[in-house]
Amino acid sequence: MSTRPKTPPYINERGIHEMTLEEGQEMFDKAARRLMNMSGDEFVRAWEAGEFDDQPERPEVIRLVLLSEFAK
Amino acid sequence: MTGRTETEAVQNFSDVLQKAASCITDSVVSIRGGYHVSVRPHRLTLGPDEFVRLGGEGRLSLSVILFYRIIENSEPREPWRIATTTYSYTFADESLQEVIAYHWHPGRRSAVSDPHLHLQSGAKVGRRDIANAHLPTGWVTLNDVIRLAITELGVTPRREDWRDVLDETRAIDGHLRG
Repeated sequence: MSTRPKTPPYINERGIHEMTLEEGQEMFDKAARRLMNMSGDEFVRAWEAGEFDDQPERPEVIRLVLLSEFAK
Repeated sequence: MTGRTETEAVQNFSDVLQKAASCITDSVVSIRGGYHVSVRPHRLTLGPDEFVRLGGEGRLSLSVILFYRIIENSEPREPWRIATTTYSYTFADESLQEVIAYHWHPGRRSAVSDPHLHLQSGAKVGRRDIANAHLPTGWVTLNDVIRLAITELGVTPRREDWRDVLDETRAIDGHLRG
């Protein structure tokens, strides 16, 4: 099975890479596993359940919250 | 950063960031979102991965996260402008242990809404209070971070005219705060 290249043609005519939903999800998931040892989905569930409410200032938490926006 | 159309404003914004970034990386600006007015901010990074590897003995990597909105501009000839609503610039070491991070992320369950700096585990500060602190900063741009990388952190510039490029792009991206 071929994998999709991350270089042209996915760089548009304006010279900008337009990130797909799948690419955003992959980036977020990798970061969640690296920073929290959990999947991206698990982090979102934990965040929405308030499991990080006592540590919302943690840089790792903030970072994942920001990266989760690429996965939407 | 302005434009005659929403798309042109985004293009101009991306061009400036791309030009500044070219001083230290060949990575391409990557946008998740679009070129239209939206309540929800668009997302931008240097891709395609979370971190881009930089040259130099320090073997640092850089992650850039910017959120922006396209809003109306008061200048009728260029009626659209880009306003940054959130940023995160993070340097990490070779093993992606994060070293320093410049943050501005108002309104995200955080009590800290002003721009600040984190000295993280990779900085090896050793004091827990400092490691957890939000160290106040002024408004930080990608341009500032790239200049820091070259002049203070030993990152190897990829072009000889990097000073001129950063001087040129600084004049523009210093006005992006939304």
